[in-house]
Amino acid sequence: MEAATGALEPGGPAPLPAALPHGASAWRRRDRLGLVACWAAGLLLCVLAVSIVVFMLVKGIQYLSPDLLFSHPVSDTDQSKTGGFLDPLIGTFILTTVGTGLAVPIGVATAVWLTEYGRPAWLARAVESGIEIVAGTPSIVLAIFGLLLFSNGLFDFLSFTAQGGAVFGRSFLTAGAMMSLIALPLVFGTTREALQSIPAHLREASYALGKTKATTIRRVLLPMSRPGIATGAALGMGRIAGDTAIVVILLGATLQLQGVGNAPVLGTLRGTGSTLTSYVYNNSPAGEGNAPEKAYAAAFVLLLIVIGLNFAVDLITGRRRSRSAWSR
Amino acid sequence: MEPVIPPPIRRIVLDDEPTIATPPPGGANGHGPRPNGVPVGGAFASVPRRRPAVDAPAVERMRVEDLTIAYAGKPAVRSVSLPVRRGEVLALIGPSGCGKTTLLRSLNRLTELTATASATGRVSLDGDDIAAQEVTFLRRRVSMVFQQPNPFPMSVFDNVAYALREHGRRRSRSELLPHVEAALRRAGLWEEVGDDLDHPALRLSGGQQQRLCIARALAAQPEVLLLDEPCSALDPRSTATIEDLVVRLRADVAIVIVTHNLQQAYRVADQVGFMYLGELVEYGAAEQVFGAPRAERTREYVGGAFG
Amino acid sequence: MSAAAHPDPAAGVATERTDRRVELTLGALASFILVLIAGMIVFVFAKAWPSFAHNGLAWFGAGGNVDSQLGEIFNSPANPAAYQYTLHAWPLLYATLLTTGGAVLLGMTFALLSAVFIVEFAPAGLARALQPVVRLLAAVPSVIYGLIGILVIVPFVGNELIHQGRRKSVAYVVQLSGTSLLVAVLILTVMITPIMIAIIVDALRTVPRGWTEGAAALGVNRWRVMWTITVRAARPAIVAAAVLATARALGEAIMLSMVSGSVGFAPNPLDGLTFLFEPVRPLAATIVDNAEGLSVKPFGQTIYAFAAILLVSSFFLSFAGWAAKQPLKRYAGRA
Repeated sequence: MEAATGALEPGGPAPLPAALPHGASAWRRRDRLGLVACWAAGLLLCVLAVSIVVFMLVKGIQYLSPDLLFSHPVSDTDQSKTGGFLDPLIGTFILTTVGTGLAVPIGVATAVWLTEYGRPAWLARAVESGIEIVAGTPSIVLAIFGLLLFSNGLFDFLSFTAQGGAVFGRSFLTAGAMMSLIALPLVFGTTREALQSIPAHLREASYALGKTKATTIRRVLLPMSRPGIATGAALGMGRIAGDTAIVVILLGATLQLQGVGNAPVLGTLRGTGSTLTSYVYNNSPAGEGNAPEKAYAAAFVLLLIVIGLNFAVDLITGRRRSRSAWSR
Repeated sequence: MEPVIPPPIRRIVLDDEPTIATPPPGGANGHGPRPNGVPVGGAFASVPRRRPAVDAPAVERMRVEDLTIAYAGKPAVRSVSLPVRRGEVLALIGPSGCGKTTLLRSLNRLTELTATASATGRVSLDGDDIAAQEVTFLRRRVSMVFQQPNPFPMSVFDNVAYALREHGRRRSRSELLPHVEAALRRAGLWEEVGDDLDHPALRLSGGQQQRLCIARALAAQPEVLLLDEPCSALDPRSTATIEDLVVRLRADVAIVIVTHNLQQAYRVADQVGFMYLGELVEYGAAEQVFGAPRAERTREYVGGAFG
Repeated sequence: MSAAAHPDPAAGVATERTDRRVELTLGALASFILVLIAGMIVFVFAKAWPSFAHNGLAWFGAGGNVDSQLGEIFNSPANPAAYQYTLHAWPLLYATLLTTGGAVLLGMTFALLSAVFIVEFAPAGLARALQPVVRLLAAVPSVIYGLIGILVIVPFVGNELIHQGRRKSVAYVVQLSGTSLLVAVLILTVMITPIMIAIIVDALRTVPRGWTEGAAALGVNRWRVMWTITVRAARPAIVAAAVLATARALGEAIMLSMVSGSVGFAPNPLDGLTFLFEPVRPLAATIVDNAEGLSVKPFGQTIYAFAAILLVSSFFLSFAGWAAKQPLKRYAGRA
């Protein structure tokens, strides 16, 4: 094993094979081409980003006016009378709230269970895979499934039931329930990371003081994970605000908020409406509307909301994000 | 195998006795110990070293002339001049931060990887200024092995063949195999990995990984091999193996080794350069620097007064 | 701490029980996900089954005009025995393959090159500036991409790039307007690339410096070091990015329904360049376009069949991602 029998050959070391010839140039043509391609890709990325941002900025400022933000949309063939997008704006807000409100408790509970308990092991692995599957499912499939699920008589309290007994299945509650599945993996992921980054000695200190696991979680771990939970919630809100497929299928596509029943809040939630995303979709040439200006204005507002939420994520995670892998 | 010379005995201080065993009065050059207790020569300079001789006389491969290197204005190496010869091992010794690693890295222009580095002076390889050559060509001729073994996340064969594949046209595995085998034999690793060259390199032990890095550096048959404290992360057995092959390699490759281990420097080196605070305080044959150092600083360092 | 010198042993049992209860509650909430997924699979496949059962393997084949077949299904008589199910969905599957495959191939190349640019060759200021930009692009809702597509790109393609001659050459089969395969693939590429760039850049930067320095010390130039060492070490992340992007491309419904055309047409590669300008309609877009007809039973079942295909594809995609990462683990060792 030792070099006693290593490189020592009887009669001296063996002659070396003739050295292989070196290549002509250190930077071959293919390397140069690769370098050029890299630069081209990088510059293309910059150009793309700048043009998208500038374009939306220009169009948005061009078409956005305060009365659009504050007037209700009205269905009319005359475009000048179709009003603004107050209801879709409120709709986005309601939907985001419902979706995040459902996603955060379930996501946090799942993350806590997985990191702190996680027994039996097969169940933990299954739940992890389950979250990944939900994360990978297209939102259109979630929408279709939601419709299937909530059209069932079991869930008639969630939405409007027509005269013949057919459950409509489309309302803020049902759409919000499916939206929560979009935000769930994000909340779960960030909460789990936050919990895992809490060093073991903090837990041990709590147990050493005689606290139960449940109390430790409630009083020590969860407060420490608040930034992580908030990050996940903000990311989830961004994705919910930007999703269109579920809205188109599960929100009933009425321009204004149509409540169901007389209860003040519950009625609206059980009712139908629209969001900024479906408003943009409907006003584009792909939908029935024919008001590209309003579509641009609404899209601009939507973009501002999404950017704002991402900015909030940055604020929550503090300077840590900017000192991440990107800076040298 | 050469006898491994034990380090000076360090006893636990019970009373006010000196903490280092001093050599018998007289030492290697007939002087008694100095009044402040610092021995004249190194404690081990009197022990003869047994090393295989090199047939041909040493040939100068590289020459450093008046080299000064600064990082962001702060000089790390000041006006150093020394030759690097094939047929001998040059050991650079000195306390931490004295600039020996910077000097080593400047020999294959790795200092350029640091953005704030600036250099004046001249380093020449076979008479040609290395700053004027294409840097990748230079590094093919002057290879380096680092302190932490850093084998690539590939098989043993791919690691050793990496430089060969990158330097030339596409070559088949059978073309490369003799060179890979030669490099592994020179590094003393062939017996251990020769039967499974597709073994993942990261699963080797620390000593084997470092020998793999040496084999990788040797594969393209460089003319100068630079070793930056290659054994500091290894256990004594691997250290002995690597020192052994360093001494054996010096016949066909000029070797420069940086080490903070004085005993190791004494075991492997033919020429020694002692650096302190960026300056080359003393340069000479190993027996002379360890046995009869000329400069006061060298004497103190080699005697263990500071490190 | 409480003043009791010796805590009551019975209290310990009570806290044990609360702990157990909390664990069970949390576990139940966590398992809710599994119930949901199981329910989703069961419900969707149960609803979709009649469509597959009536068509057998021909469901996946070509034959006839998909849109007219869908129309017939929609207009089925009310009598359950006379429900129409005939469908040959190949044009839709083909469209999905083309758009997803094209976007992922283009996007992967673009993302890899951009990531290498950002990590290695870009000036420091530019690299730092690109970080929020890429994240912004990744967060833009798909409907906005669709809006820009349909209001800017589609008319451009329709008016400038498609000549009358091209239109006439295929007029007997399909109408060429701006909504086409080309626009769909381009916009889909722009949609999926930013998140890939973010993932790959993170992975490239975590490659240990020892490897890159070691390779540079062997006399290898910057490009080759980046390519043979850093990118190679980041392969698992590249696979993960590709899987994520493919999943997003597969499931993209709204943007594609806006820009790819509302015709279930299978573009013909033999048409030459015109192939790019022919309209397509991938599966997800078909579902969105036909969502109003869900109440008609056989039509709804057909639509659920599409959803079932999408579900199966996303499972298969996750599995493929996992499988692709396995051989990469052999040489990665502990690093």
